[in-house]
Amino acid sequence: MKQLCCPLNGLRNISEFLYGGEYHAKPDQISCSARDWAEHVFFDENNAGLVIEWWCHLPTSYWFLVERNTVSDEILRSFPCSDIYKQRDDSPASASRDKGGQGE
Amino acid sequence: MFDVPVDESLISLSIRELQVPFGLLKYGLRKRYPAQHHFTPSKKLKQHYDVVIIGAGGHGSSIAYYLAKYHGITDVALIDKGYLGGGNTARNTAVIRSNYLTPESVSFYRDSVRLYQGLSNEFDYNIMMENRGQLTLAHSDAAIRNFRWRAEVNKHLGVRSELVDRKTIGEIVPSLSVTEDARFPILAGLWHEDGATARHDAVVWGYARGACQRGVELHQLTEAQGIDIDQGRVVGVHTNRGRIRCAAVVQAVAGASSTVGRMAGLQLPIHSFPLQAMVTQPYKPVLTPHVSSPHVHVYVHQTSRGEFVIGGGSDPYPLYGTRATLEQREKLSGAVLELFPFLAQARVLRQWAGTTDMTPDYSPVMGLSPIKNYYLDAGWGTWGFKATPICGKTMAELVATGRVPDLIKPFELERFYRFEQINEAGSTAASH
Amino acid sequence: MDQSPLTLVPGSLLRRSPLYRRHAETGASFRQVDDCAVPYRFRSHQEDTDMARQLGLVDLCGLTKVGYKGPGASLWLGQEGLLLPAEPNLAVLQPDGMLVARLSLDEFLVLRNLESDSSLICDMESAWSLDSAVQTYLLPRRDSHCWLAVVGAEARQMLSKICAINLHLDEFPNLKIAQTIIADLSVIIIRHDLGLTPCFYLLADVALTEYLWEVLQDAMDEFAGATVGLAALLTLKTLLVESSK
Ligand SMILES: Cc1cc2nc3c(=O)[nH]c(=O)nc-3n(C[C@H](O)[C@H](O)[C@H](O)COP(=O)(O)OP(=O)(O)OC[C@H]3O[C@@H](n4cnc5c(N)ncnc54)[C@H](O)[C@@H]3O)c2cc1C
Repeated sequence: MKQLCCPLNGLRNISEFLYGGEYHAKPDQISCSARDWAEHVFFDENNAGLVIEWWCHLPTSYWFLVERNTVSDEILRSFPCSDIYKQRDDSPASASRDKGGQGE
Repeated sequence: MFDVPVDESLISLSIRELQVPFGLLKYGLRKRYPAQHHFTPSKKLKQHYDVVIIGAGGHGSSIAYYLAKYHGITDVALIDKGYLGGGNTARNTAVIRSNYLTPESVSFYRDSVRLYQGLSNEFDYNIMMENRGQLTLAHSDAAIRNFRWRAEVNKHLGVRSELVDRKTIGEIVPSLSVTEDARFPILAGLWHEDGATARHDAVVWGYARGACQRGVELHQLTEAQGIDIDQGRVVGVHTNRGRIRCAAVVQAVAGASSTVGRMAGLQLPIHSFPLQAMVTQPYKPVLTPHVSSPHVHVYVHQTSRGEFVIGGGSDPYPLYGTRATLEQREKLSGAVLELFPFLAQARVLRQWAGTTDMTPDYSPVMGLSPIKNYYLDAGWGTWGFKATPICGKTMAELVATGRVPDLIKPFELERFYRFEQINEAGSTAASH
Repeated sequence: MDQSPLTLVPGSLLRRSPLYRRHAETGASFRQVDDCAVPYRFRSHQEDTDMARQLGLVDLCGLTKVGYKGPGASLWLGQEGLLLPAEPNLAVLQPDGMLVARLSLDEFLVLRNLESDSSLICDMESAWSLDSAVQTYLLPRRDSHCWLAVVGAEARQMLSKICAINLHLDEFPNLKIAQTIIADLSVIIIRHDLGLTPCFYLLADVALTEYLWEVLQDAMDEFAGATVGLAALLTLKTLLVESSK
């Protein structure tokens, strides 16, 4: 079976994971137009080639990001979302924390 | 070398009922069987066409056919990067049905099923339509509620669907295991008498032949590589065989919708997932209807050749690839044995996959695009074979007249901007 | 630990495992541990222990366990005097035998020791409050997860039938954790050997207890494993103490 490396749990069978969609930077919900929001919600690059996408390790409910080639099905790397989301907007304390898995 | 004279008026009635085209009968009564050439051999690509249709699957061919037949538009290039009908049309499990949930879908697929009924005669070419009926199984109360709802919507719109109990299920499909001590006992079914299958290759060949006879050019091994747009209007297509100027373009490329759409600068609400299916070795006929269980994620019917065709849900994540996996074979096998334990001894002959373009609401994206004269026939996911005739007919009307037929208006791309999805999730998963 | 045999009278307020009735039917004798009736023995003590050396399945559902989670959890647990694993998916044995498992950077699961008393874990639980434990949230785990143990020389072989993780000692040393899938269920596996006898704790959603139990029994059949009581585990543990003297 194909395997995927989870930043928190290591290399596991792909059946332990749930695909969670393409990674998109979120538009500002307050100021963006309804059309922008619709595109954010429904539309996708669906690129034939390299993509960055969300995956969840089901036994730990741990969400992380994966770079994958959608033609060859090669997984290039997986990394915690804290690499992109440097800080939580609702919790100043966690902003100081460096990278690492946030098993949630 | 002579034809046996046939009194056509005598046999026409019964032939109609049998869905056998006259040509086939004449052919059968002949002494010699000359091979027929279906298609014009591929010519030099012209520099200009009125319409370029990208993708010579069932959909592209059907659009070309109706453009030529009803609208007299024959300066059409039907191009495919591979060969005619070599995409999902070649890979699908050929289920035809109209027992959807939303009124928009039910009306649309109902008209498609009706068109299918007449195709063999219209083409004078046997598409092997088998009116076998389709049975969807409920293993939970929630599914029964959904079936009741679907049956009501269906009947209201002239589609034959009814909720049936276990006794009736046993009569319709005696070989089905309706035991109480199954993992997921069958509680009820949605019996859809209009359900059918047809020979998928014959459908695309019939359409392409009809289109070519009327002057459409079929160009295989001709890949669209770019789209020319001038001031918001499509003006040409780049191919590996040169540039074509044209007045209108239809993209009907199934699993490549996002890729081709991007050439025109469009982003679509689509994710491409592999969908797999497999067949067993042939057996004597034991199963007539098509049986589907969304709960155990499997559907199955026995072809006239005797093979059991077995399919299920999409792969768990997107991929532009058509590899078959052991996991899916295991899943499908486990699931089909819950319904038909006697298949335990059957051997799988072939397993394959196609790339299916899934939309968020399990409905297609068809009609106008933001680019003038660039038309979309996309997002057909795992359910587009059954739509081949009606899709071709309505899209041809749109291309020819510029007016969106009422039947497909609800499926336009714009619906996502209005947050008005046509949610078919409940009636499409594993049912095809 | 209370060593007197226990008869559960109807109306008893003792906690029971979701598997209680199965155990009662197979003639288990129970002991009270904390506020719970735990299956203590299924055969003679010697027979249970011999079985556990080979392959035994133990129901530890009633034993106290608790979780803590949040960006402040490691700080607070450290202040409470616990030894914490340096990284996720490791456990650390506390001086009193309690086990602290780190499930992620910010989440911990504390399992009661098998013998003696559970006062430490209870003290901690009552010391916790939203105000005193900054950014640390209490996760009541007693009723959320079942707690089973697969013990014995054959334990790894048997688990390899149903679990994709390599549980060989070289790859999966004592006190290592794997959060994985067994029989389509999410399961936390914690290795906690009893001396030289391999022992794996399995924790899963409590609603799945009976199903998981049946899956494990089914997988054990081939190795002639059987259900054993807590007493056998305690004996294997004391053997460790003696032999290491
Ligand atoms: C395993 C499986 C089972 C299915 N079962 C069913 C079912 O039972 N019932 C049902 O209704 N539907 C089913 N479907 C879905 C159905 O097959 C499709 O929706 C339908 O065939 C789409 O038809 P099409 O003509 O649009 O696509 P295709 O037949 O795929 O045609 C598209 C064509 O576009 C060509 N193309 C792509 N890119 C380019 C380019 N750049 N330039 C030129 N040409 C290009 C391809 O080569 C291809 O020939 C199934 C699909 C699969 C994979």
